[in-house]
Amino acid sequence: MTRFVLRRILAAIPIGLIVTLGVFALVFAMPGDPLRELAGDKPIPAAVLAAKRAQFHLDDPFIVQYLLSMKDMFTGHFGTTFAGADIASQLRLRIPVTLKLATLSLALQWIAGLLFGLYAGFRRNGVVDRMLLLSTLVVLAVPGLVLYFAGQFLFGVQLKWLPVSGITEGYPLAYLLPATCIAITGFAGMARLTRTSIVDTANADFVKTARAKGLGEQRILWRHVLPNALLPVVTLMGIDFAGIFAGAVLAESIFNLPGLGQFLFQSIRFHEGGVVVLLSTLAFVMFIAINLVVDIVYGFIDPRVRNV
Amino acid sequence: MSEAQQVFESETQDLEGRTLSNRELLRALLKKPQFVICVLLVVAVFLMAAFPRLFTSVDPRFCELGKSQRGREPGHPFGFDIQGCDYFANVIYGARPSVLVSLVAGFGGFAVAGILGLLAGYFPGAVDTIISRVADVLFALPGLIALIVILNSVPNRSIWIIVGIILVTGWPQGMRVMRSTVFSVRNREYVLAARSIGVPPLRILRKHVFPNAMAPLLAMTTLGIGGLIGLEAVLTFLGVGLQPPSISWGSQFGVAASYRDSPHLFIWPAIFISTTTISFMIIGDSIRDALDPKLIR
Repeated sequence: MTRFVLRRILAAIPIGLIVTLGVFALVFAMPGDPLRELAGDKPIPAAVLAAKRAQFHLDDPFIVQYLLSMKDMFTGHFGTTFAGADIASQLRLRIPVTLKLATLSLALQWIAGLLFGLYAGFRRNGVVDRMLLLSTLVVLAVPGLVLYFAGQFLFGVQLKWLPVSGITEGYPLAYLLPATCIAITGFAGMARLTRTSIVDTANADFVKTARAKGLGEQRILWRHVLPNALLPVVTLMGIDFAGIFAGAVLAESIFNLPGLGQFLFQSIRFHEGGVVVLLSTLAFVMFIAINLVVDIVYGFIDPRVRNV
Repeated sequence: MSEAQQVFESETQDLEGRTLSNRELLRALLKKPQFVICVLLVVAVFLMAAFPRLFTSVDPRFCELGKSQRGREPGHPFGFDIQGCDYFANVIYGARPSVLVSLVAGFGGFAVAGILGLLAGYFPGAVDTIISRVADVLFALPGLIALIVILNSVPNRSIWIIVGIILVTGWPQGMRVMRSTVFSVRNREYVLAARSIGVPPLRILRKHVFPNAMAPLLAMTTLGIGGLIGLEAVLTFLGVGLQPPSISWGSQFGVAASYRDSPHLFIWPAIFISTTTISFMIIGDSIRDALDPKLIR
């Protein structure tokens, strides 16, 4: 087990290196002077230029620049935006918002997805199953953008049940609508996968064997079907969890929640290249770390994976 | 994106190793009314993209500022946008980027993932290792964020650049599906027979392996096209996709987001884009059902 965990950690390191290097190369090693963009059309005084070059280590070789900026990132020296806001304090304000949104939406979609998926899987071709297949087909097909706007328009603007945007109404209330929108898109995949997995497992040979040797239905369900059927579901939960930031970018920009996703959206709008790189590097590192944890958890649940 | 693909992957993995002739497949598909209706809808959208003048004679860039945000009028069924341009013409002309994305990223993605999957599955060893390791790295990235970073550093973005970057970052999932099907096909008797009489590897791949291993990837690709159209709209909405003055459904959403008091700006492109994506989804669903060995009598 320890070897398995160590091997996974070792495998994550080169990927993290390649990814951060790639992001860095894309932005800082592009042809052209990054300071030109920073100043816009205005001419820059030579002294300011020299100071900025030193601040961003622009005169060092590429690898040194990369290492220095990674060091800055990991020691928490994030610098400021062009407008002068301290990025570290921005992050402190924004991370809780995104975390609240993420936990609420993940809780909603996992609970609903598992319940409906399990029920539809056991009562295959029943009313719930058919309804689920049809509705999830539509949800998977409709672009998230349309879904978010439609939810906002219907429940916020027309029916006025929930706040349209912003977080002035406080934790559960203001987050409910965006979290539900994220949850609906995630729920569709979750419920479908759970259903398919239950159906496949219920027809597997080991379940027939269990039934043939006279085990009770309850025992077959809890000891044989569920533990095997839920393995792909756990994988999807991991993907969901790791990818939640991407969903948050869209939801936070549309519902105007001051989280990390909205920060990324605004940075793109205002051409804050540095902030985009910082946020996406954080997102990548988080993604790799979460996947690592999911892999390790998966190794505990499914002994077959450990030997791979 | 990757979430939906994960689901499709699990739902399409039973399709491997099926040999169904194209004519049989087509006949099975044409029996389904929902498939026929969706194909007709997709054809209509394709016509909209290729010949927008068939649907509207109004120039989408002819605008009268005085009519800004006004509702429907005779001759202007969808009303006007914020610049006072006819919105019907704008929505019709907005089909082109979505259709280009669906065609190029769909077929291109099928080709890239298919070829790489064939190579990785048929030549274990160095080729497989290289392709699979690159896929691992791309797989370790959240797709939307990777696209945002890359597109953000491209100054002049055309639809071709966007599609190209979607292709470059998006192939690993399809490649894995193809690779695993090729694994199950590569030691079948007909492949061994072809190899024993000295057929060159490329011909074996083209004539024997590919036709028998393409079904899961085909189903997955058609199911994913709707997602690609949505992805283009999201990228444009976020500001890393198409730039004004190009007309697209994604940029119409971006404008509608700032003018919430005139919902028609949102509703019409939403209806068009959703119809297109749902049609692609139902087509993909029908193809998968037609290929599913459990359902073939």
